[in-house]
Amino acid sequence: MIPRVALPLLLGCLFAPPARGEEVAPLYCSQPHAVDRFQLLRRLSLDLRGQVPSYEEYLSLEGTTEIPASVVSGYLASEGFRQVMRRYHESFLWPNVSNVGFAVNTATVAPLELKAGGSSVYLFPAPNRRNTYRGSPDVDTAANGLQCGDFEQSTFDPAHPGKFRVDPNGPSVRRTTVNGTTVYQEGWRWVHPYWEADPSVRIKVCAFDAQETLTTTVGTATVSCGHYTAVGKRECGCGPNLKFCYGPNPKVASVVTAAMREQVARAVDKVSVGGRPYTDLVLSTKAELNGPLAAWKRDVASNLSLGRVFTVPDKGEPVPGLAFTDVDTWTEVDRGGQHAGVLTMPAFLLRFQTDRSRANQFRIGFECEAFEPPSQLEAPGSGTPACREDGTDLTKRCTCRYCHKQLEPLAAAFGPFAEAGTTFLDATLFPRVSQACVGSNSAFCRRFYVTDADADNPGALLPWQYADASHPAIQAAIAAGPRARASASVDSGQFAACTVKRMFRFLVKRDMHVQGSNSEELALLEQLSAGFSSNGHSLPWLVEQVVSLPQYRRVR
Amino acid sequence: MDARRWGVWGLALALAGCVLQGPATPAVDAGSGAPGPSLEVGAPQPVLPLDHPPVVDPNAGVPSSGARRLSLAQLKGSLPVVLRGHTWKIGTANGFDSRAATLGVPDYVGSVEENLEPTPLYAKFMADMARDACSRALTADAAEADPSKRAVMRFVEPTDTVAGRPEKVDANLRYLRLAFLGAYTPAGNPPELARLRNLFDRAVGAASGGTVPSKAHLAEGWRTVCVGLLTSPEFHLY
Repeated sequence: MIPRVALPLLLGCLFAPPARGEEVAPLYCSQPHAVDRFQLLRRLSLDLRGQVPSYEEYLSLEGTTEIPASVVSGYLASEGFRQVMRRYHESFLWPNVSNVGFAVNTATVAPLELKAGGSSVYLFPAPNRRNTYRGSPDVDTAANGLQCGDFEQSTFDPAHPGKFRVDPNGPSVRRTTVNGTTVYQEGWRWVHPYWEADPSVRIKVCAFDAQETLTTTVGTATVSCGHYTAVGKRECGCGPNLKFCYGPNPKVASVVTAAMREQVARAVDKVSVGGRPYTDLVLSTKAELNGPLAAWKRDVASNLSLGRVFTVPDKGEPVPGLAFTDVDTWTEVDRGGQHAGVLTMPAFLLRFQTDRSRANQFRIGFECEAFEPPSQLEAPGSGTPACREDGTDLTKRCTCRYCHKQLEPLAAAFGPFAEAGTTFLDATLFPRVSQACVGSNSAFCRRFYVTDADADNPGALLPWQYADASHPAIQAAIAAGPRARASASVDSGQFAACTVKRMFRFLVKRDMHVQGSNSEELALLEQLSAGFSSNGHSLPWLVEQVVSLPQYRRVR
Repeated sequence: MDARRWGVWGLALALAGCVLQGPATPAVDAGSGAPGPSLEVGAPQPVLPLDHPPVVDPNAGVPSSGARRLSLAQLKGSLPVVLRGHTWKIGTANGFDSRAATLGVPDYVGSVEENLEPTPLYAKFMADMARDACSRALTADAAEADPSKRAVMRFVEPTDTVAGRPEKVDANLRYLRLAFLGAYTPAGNPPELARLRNLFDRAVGAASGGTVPSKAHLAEGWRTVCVGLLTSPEFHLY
């Protein structure tokens, strides 16, 4: 293998004068050397603005011996730097959740052709909702065609004015007996869907599916028709302008996931060019929401399947009153003390769906540490205390425990937020123990609780399974939450040191020499980390320091 | 990166170098004077170019930064700066966007790290990029009467040749080296300038077939220089 250092050597030599016959290689072929001011300007511009300097900018260096400080400060205030920092942070926050399936067929209207030659009509693809409305999951009659039938419905139940509620026994609903079963076909009506900015755009929606009932009763509780527990209610449809339902993916889910990514980027903007301390990235309780995020959270996120992501709004979660089409309007909200910067934003919680993966990514991204399995397997019963061969307590399992003793408490810090979801597990809605779930087969219990009676702590809310007296570190971590964990990292200096190492690697294009025999830059790390902390964790300050280092201004 | 990839990149570098340096002298056996083998085959190991003098261990001495290939985002941001608004297009789309996934830009779902290795695929698409973007810039230059608004022919007129206006050709080459590579060319006739001038002159000669070069032939010469610079390692590394 040719070492990486050979690349610039080779490059330099290709463009150097022919070396045949010379005794000594040119200086730049042999030793690290300072780059000239033109190359330094190119390096600064590429690193800080993401583009090469213009010819005029190069020319401005003629007659000078070095690059004025104002050039660097100008770059740090530029739009280019904002974009560079966005990309830099995406490289370890991975905020793309476009592959996450939000839309469930019980809460999505999709176009379907109801009759040969007829135009598409939107309706629920979910068989259970069709069955609830029409008496059969798949209606097909000779007179009206498929499902709701291809005719316009204009008569609605007068007992519920303004709700466009369909009376299945009313005269305008067509009833047919198919194989001994009475099926109902209610036709369609025109609706302006919430995802279209142009108010003149209307689509045909089956009339049951388009009902605008806002609330219904489930058990003794009054719930929104947009809540997943209301799915079996015949009087519930998609609500006004279909607001309780997902629409076509490119129009709704893709717009929401793009907004989630942008939400993280806007948090990065605040610490890169917005003057906020870098610690805000993991400690701020604030977040910005735009129209798609607000409308999704307010109207759509509650309508879900327990087999998919759990994104029910938190109790009292602030949601701006923006319309879905307000894509470019962003409003800042305070999410409350349980939140921790980008670590509890949907993009992070849904990109890293388990507490362990969240903890691991936090550790990699902000503490610059990664788990490595031991090279040798541990023999059952060996060690002090003796390790166990089986069981779900990974802090005691042979071999596993090397990493999981540290990982489990760190993962527990993320426990208060639903795995494969974004919801804060409020104790009133999610009691820490539910004896009713022991041995239960309900989807809710199996999703959130330890249902196996033989397991450790049966009935415990899953993240709390090992939050007991024999696991004090887990107990403390889950009680404190992710913000306290991030705060501890800031207080210990680990956060600052990691930020310095990452930024050094990004700009100087190699790791800092801070380990083992190659540790001549340890003092520099300590100096920069201390300076970063004492300068209010200012990211631009740190970047300016790194690009001023001799290391940055020399190449080999 | 494995040795094979570095080998390919080395080949790409060598090809780019050939564009600017001309044909290499074949190795000669010292004993017989007959042409000797041009390549030694053996276990992969660090190898310097033929006849290169020994170098000092670059890991020793003063710490310095490493070198890195430009990312796709940096290329996308830089091309309009270098070519005064022109960029690589595939159909009506920006080529850097169209080929982002192919060229290793991570989507943070299936891939999470940008591939900055100089793969053969990268070399191929960068050659496409250079030919397309330079053609666009030269077409626009030909229609632009004000030299200060031109991207490539900034200090020459479309009829200027090496023989007729050498000082203007050199001024333009100096401009191109600085604008494209950030390489300042000192006064006089340094070898890097001579090589580019030679490239321009030979490309014009090849295009004109020995006749008096027309504007189109001269534009082809500048297009060749533009492509050579945009495919040179000096453009892609920093």
